[in-house]
Amino acid sequence: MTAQHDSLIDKQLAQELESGALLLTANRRLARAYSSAYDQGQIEAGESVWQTPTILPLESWWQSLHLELQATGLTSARLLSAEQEQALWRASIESKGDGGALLSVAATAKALMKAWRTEHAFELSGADWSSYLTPDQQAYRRWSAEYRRLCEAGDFIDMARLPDLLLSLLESQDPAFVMPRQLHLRGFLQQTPQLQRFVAHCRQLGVVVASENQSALPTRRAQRTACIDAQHELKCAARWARGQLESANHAQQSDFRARRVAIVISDLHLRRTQVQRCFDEVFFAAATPAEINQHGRSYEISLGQNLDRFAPVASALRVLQLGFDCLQGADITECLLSPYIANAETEKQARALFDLQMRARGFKVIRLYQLIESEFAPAQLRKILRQLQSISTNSELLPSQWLPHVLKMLQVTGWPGDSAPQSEEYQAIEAWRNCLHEIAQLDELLGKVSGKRMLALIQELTRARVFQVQSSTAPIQIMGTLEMVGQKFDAAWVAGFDNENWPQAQRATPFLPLKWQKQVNAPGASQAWELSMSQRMIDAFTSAATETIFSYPLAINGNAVDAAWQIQSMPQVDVGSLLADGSTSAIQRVFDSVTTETIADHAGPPIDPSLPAKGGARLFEDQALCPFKSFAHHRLRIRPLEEPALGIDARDKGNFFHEAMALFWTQTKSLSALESLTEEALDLRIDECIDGAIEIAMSEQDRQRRAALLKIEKNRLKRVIHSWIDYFEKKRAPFCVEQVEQESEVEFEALKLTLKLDRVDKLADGGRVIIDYKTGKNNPVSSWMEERITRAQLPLYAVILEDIRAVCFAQVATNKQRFSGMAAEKNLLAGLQGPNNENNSWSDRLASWQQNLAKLAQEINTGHAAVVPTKNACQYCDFSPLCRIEKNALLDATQVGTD
Amino acid sequence: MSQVITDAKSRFAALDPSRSFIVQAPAGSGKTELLTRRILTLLAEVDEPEEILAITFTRKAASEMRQRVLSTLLDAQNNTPVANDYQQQGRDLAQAVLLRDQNRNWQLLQNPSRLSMQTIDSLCAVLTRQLPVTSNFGAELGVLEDARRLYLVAAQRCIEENLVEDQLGYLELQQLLVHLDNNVERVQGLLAGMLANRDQWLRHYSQAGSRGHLEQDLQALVSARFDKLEELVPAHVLTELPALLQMAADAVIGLDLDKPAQHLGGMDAIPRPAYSSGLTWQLLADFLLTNNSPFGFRKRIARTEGFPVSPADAEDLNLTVAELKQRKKQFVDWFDEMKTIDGLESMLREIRDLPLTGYTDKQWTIMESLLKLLSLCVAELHLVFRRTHRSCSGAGLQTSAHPGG
Repeated sequence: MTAQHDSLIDKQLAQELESGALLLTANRRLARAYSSAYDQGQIEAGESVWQTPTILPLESWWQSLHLELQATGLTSARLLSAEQEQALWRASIESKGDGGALLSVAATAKALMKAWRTEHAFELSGADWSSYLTPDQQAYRRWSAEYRRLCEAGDFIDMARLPDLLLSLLESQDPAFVMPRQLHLRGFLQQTPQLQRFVAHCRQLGVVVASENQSALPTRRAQRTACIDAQHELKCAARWARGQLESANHAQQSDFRARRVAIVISDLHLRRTQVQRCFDEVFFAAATPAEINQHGRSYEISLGQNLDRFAPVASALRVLQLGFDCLQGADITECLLSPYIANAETEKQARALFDLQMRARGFKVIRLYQLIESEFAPAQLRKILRQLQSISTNSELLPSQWLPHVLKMLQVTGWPGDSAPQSEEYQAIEAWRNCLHEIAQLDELLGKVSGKRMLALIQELTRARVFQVQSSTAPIQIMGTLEMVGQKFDAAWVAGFDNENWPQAQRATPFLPLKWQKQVNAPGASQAWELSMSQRMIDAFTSAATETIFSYPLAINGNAVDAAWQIQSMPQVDVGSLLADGSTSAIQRVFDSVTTETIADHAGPPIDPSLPAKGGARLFEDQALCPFKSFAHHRLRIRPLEEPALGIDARDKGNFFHEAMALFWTQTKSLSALESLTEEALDLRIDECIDGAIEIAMSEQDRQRRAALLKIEKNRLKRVIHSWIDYFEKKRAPFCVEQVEQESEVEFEALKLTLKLDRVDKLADGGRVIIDYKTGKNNPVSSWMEERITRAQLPLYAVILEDIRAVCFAQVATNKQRFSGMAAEKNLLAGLQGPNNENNSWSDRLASWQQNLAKLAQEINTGHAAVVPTKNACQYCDFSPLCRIEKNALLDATQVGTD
Repeated sequence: MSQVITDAKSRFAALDPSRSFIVQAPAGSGKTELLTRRILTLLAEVDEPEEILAITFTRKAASEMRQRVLSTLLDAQNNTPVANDYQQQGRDLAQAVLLRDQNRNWQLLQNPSRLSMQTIDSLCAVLTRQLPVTSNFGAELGVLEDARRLYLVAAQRCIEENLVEDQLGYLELQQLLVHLDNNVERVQGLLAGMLANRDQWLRHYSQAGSRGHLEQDLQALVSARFDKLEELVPAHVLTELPALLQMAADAVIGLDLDKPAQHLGGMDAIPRPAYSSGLTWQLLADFLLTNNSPFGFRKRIARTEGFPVSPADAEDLNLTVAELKQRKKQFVDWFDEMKTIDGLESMLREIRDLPLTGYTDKQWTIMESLLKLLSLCVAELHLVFRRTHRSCSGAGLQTSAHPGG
């Protein structure tokens, strides 16, 4: 069966490599593929030891030639790394004073680098620069002249001009190094004039140059197939790939070489997560991510990711961010709970609680000292943070001087954690170290920088660095279009060949005149280039596998599209016939074959009557809104994570008001006492109460942190309280205040409750009025008339306490103040509803409340926890991930398990 | 479409590339087909297909349009049969394009992306890509479809920075916070909302600095409305009105009713609608229009409008019921004539709540604070784009040539 597989390396090439031929590839990935194919060939040939062949990406070869020339003293020029080159371009832009207006100098520098490479690879330097240039091209000319000057001043050479330097040295000097006898080039879709010139010179030096020979390939089969849309296309590709592996396993169990399958997705970088999810679903229908990781995937997405997205690197960046500056929002939690910091496991609980505390205190931005000062900080963490603080410095240093400092910062926090890093983490950590060392080489370009600037540099570089984890070769490789060129697989599926997205548009650089780029056939400069490149890519895809399927969606965003012209002539096959499991997926068949059984489980354990029930009036309110909400909130005691608000949040404002009013009425006691106060005395008392309230309701640290906003808040509160007292309290019939903010233990329908009343007033006739302050805007009394009383608090007090003549909300928002509620008789308090007629007396009202609340109490007692929200209850509920009401609604609407 | 199309002539005329057209027609009447044909007509004449640009509102529409042109060309290439003259006409256009394609080696079918059919956002992106330095973007940028999160971040940074005394926007932020009930998140939301619409206000911002300018603009806008009303009101309908209003005013005042009519007595003549007579006309609008949605002309004219007919009211006013009825009829006749004037109802509705004074000092202070903070916010947004995403929302692409503040 082995004969069916064609390897990247045939017998002849293997022999040539063995005898010292050099194989150069267009990219690093292809070099790896050739190396491993060579090794595979040796294993299959029964070898146990062999010499490593010279297989290199072209650029690496040039670099090694340069090193040799440097070593022999033929050139003193130092080669710039990509980072150094970019920094030099930035310096060129900035030195010309043009940088200020640009949105992104870094991105501009990158674009300039690209143009610079095109200029040299396509040998445009000799063109007539005196002809008309656009302002953008003039800018390029200006900046590139400055860049060239900086390079000369520092004796630097860059990758774009390295081949020219090598050539000139090779031409003028006797080459000090041995050229290979034979040279193979692989995976070059387009050989640039610069490369051609270089190759020609190698030939002159007697090197035998062999280019790719595609005619020797065995017959290839290419087919096209249509899918419903891009999502379906992906799913079909995954199922097809799975089928390929399974049939290979059945048929060729004796064969030790696994079938290799390629999936090519042109916009892979945009759809990475989607692709991963889709394949996981097809290969591991119901497994958790942890189970999948443990089992190992037989597919691999070969697409680098930005280095800063790897967990240990992200964690290191947060530590530095905290050390040099401050942390914000979700980064605070991520940093505190990071497993890459010392003692993360032993202090896990304590650190999680600490995070909750910091959220509750409203930290949106946090600095190192604030974490250390906090009384809730876990001991080990505080120790680590103290050490981090102790080595902080305000000085400006050279990048190479910062390097040991940065490493020390990481070291004191115990990064990368207490447990040994896994392979992927290990590789990412190595890449991170390399990044730091590259920055340390930028001394000359950057000079002394501040810690914050150093941090920004590190962040920028790790964000820009694309890092690809090298893993064991999975049989299914998922990749982008360019990576497929030059590879060899048993079968391939290439997705996205509709006429909207293919041919893929390439863009010529705007910094060089288009006319010149057209003349030299530079990338993206002309229609002819695009069409010939698209054909070359299709040829490359086709020749890369014995069997290639080109798929296209029939619709994009609901718009009908067609197959691209380039694949129109291929034979069309039905997508169902390509899938081993036919038109229904495996997961679908599992669903189809099961019979479901329903178990209704709407109740938790009943309440223990000997213990107090937590939650007070909220227990009834939540039970009325949705029994499940009440159960989750008060029995399971689940709370959503608090999101710190910007500024002083509504809850703090409410607390201030409540405390201020409590202080005020504790001192003032009655309407007559209030009336006896002079304007000045009242004013003073309100001021004192507000100051006192804020002191009670907020810790000193938090007060200092918010001094500016508290000043405004005090004025606001004063206005609100003044107008409330003047326009509402003073207009009432005589009363005295009997209780403020008083807690009482009561029993209602066998539930032991703790109730807290904002305020109880006693009227002249001995009757009582319960007042509840509301600083928000919406307090519908109408809910009291419903069977499930969603605002149960005041009715509950009314039926439990004695002699209650009225219950009411005191609405005290800035622009809306009023009393609203219900009273035993009309005109007891302005704004309250009295009984409208004889059938609707106060005692009837109390009786109906008693009855409705007793029903709720009954539900609570028995642990009733069904998901039956009242209308709008879900709008302000955080438990939807728990009760899965949306999911259930979906399931009701459609069939269970449709794909 | 097998029947004869009645407006075939105008459809054909609209293909003339030397003239410009606005095409308005109901859904399903063939607007897209007409546009497709116009593009085909143009394609047959240009040197390169990129010379034609079609802008659509959505990406879906752009793709639909491109597919339409392509399938017409493909049908022509494959010689699929046509059903009628109208289709034949389209076929002829497509054949001409194919010929052009062949002569100039466009290879349109092989490379459909040469048909420039795109949204305004994607056109802007193309331009910035081609003019990286001129556009100040520096390099190709991905366009963020939804930048709300970044607007909020920019607003948040702006607020945090200016909460510190002796910062540039400290006083202004204080004023705004006081105005919005010390609700920082509302201030943030307001600023972020304005950032999202900066394509609409940013370029006016530099002139908008002074109160005089803004008030002038405001007055010009208001005046324009009154001028429109002026055109609608014929002179003769106003001659009778002062007497009628006097009666209504006498009645409401006599019956001690707090109604709009009480302010309308004592006029010798009704001034023509203008900015200067704005208040009178707003009172008139209150008088003639209902107070509740949909705020149309009053359907019922009765006691509260100053035209009672009950014996009790007659007694209070020292008039007879017959006299009252006569008055009411007179007014209703006049009102019925007004009601026949096309567009008057909606115009009165529009002028009813227009501001006639400039800004009050208090409003202006808030306005000034907002403008100042917005300029700081725009600068902050620029930094946010720079630091985090290096990309920009559609509104930014259109305004990048006018950096504010």
